[in-house]
Amino acid sequence: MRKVATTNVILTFIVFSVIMVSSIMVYTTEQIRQQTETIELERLVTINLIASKTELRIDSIVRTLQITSNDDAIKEAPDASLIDKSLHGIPEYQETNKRTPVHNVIDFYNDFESILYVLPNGDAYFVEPYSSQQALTVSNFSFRGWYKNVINTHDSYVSSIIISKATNNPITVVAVPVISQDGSLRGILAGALKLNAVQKVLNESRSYPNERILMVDNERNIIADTAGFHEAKVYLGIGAIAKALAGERGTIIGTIDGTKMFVAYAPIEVSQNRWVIVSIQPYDDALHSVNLSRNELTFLIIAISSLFTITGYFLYRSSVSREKFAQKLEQLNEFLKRTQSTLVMSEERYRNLFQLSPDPTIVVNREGTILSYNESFEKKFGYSKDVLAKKNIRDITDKMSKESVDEYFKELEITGHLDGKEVWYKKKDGASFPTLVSASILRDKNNAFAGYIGVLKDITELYEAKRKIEESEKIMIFQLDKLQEIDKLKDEFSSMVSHELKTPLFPIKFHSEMLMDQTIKGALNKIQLESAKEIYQNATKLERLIDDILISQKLELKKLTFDISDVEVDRLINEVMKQNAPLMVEKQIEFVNSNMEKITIKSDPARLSQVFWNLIKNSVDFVPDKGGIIEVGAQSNREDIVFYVKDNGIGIPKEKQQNLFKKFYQIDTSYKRKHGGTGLGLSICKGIIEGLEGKIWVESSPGMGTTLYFSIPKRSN
Amino acid sequence: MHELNNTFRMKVLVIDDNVSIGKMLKQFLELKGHQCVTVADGYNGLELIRKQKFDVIVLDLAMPEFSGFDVVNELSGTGEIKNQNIIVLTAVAVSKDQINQLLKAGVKSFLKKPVSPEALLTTITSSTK
Repeated sequence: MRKVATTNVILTFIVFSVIMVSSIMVYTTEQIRQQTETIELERLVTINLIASKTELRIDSIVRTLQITSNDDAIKEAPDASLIDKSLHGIPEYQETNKRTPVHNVIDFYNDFESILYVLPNGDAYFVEPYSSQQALTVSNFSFRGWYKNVINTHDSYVSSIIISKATNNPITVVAVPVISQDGSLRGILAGALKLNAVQKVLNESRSYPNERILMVDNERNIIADTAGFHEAKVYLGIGAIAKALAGERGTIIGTIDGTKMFVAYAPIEVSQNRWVIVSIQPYDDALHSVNLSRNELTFLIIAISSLFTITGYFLYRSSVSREKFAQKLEQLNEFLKRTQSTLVMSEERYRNLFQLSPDPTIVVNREGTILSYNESFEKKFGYSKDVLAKKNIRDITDKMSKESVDEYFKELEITGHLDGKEVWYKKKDGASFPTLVSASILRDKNNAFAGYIGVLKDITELYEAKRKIEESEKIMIFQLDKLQEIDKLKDEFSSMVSHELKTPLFPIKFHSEMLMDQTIKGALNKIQLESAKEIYQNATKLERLIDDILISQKLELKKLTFDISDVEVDRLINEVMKQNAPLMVEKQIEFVNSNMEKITIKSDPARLSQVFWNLIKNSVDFVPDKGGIIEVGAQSNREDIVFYVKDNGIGIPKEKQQNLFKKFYQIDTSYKRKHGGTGLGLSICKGIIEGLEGKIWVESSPGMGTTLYFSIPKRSN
Repeated sequence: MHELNNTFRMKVLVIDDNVSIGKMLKQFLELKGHQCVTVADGYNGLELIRKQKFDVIVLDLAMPEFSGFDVVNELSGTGEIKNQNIIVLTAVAVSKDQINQLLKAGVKSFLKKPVSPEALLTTITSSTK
């Protein structure tokens, strides 16, 4: 019911406002129409006044000149022979009776810049003042419009605006004919009329705000303008000037340069010529007052109606919202009732969580006073419920962590939580144990601070584990030290062995060499020499055996160091050929170099030579006594290079090949063997090649010779 | 039973703790016409070097108490080594670095035991040139 009533009120207001506004609009429009009529009339009157004023003025000026032209002296015939071209006319002192009256006009009437007397043919006769005659730039004026007109009409003429050649000012020329007694044309008097007089008239005639009055000649050149002189012809674009030039007078409301203007125009009749006067005022300024009142009224009406509307609207809204408010209150009540019951439930749930949590949980206040703790806490610490109430948590903290407690409370104060801090606590029985504590702020149902709740994680087992690890570490370090010591002892032992074994060999060899030399200790007989040789050879064998054993041992322990450098394969093989050549010559074996590779690899050249030497030595033992051939070569592949030593010896049976590279393995272990190797050669080669990250293998069959291959990778560390 | 040789007569000092080797080298060198003094430890060897002038010094490395290394370091430290011709003759397995170090310190030549009489003599005579 209430709703309908308010709607009606609003509607009524709206309707009322509409009626008010429309009536105002109608009234003001009528007002404007009336005002416009009044203004039009007013302006027309004014413009006519100015036009008449101007006409009168020009008229009197023309009359003055006419009177002058009637002067007897002036009417006497001029003497063309007096004209001096260099003086642009007659000299100053000539025809003074003509000059004087003209000069008087200039002096008396301030309207003329100068007055010129021309002969009927247009030649300049004289000019007053004389200074203007001197300033003449032309001597004949037959080109001028006023001249042509006066010659034709024998009547006075007021010209359009021309720019004075003497002063560069805009002037209009008033030209009157000089007629003799008998009616013949003696000459023309032409006065250059200053226009500032006209300008003055216009300026004084302005009577309306922002009004512009301007006067143009029949060619639309500005004669005078209250807005300022400019040389461009005037085109208003509304036809006012055109109408005035046609002789019409009136008012027009039109748009000039985008602005609505109130224009009044009228023609000005000057001798044989017609000028135009125009008054221009912005329409808004013209109808300013009317507009103002209309605007004011409209604004007032709109304001009042808006006020009414707004008030109505708010009335309506408040009625609606009051109802809504009642509804909302109901809802809120319901909600509160429900929340209360939920709160009660969650409180219980929380209490259960706290109690049942498997981790010891405790609540303390800011000072650390124990407020409550759960069952797990009771069990862990051995204190039953409430025993610790009022005590401080510091009382159950082990002295190891006592200092940290204050820090932790500070942190809780600042950040509101504690994450995984190690704290040692004391149980009731005195045993201390490590825990990780996490804590946060406990809030009550009003969200106020209710204490710090902390959860403890027993990390005793972790600690045990840590301790065990540390112990094992210690043991390992100890064992490592021992191993290193043993290693060192082994090294020392080998060096010592090497040194001790080799030392006696030196004198054994040296003495036998001295004996064999025969120049040092004297000549020996054949059997003596034989003994010396045997001693020497066996000593040499022993030396080699010792070396081999030492190398084998080093290889075994992976202690043999390699000297890696760039190895030019072809150079290496050439060296090998050179090194082993004597033996080949001695044994009469054909020694072939099949190598074509010229690449460079990174490896140990000395060790490679050693391997070659070992393999060649082996082959030497297996080739036939006559026609034995040993071939040495290399083959480069993408990933590695394969060297080989090939012989045409007796070959190795398959079953013996698998053990070939084992230590002390000898193919022929028969008593009569002529091959006196140490049995370590091939195992040493294997150790060396594998140490250089390569591979060594054999291809052989009885009666087909033997080829021993070893590869070296192209990209070795 | 010794021959006169065409090369000039050298005065050689042999420092080696093995008496047998010392005697052998002395005998050999003297048979080849040179003069030889032997000493069995580095300390006395050093003293002798400072007291007498030798053309060549044959120096063993592995000696107890005062080794061949010590002798070289001592002489190198004082700069005396520049006026001496030291040839190291050793059975000890020495690394390339150690050999370089000795040569840098001022040792003239390096021989490994066992060495042949010929090689030894050539090295000794060429070192004096």
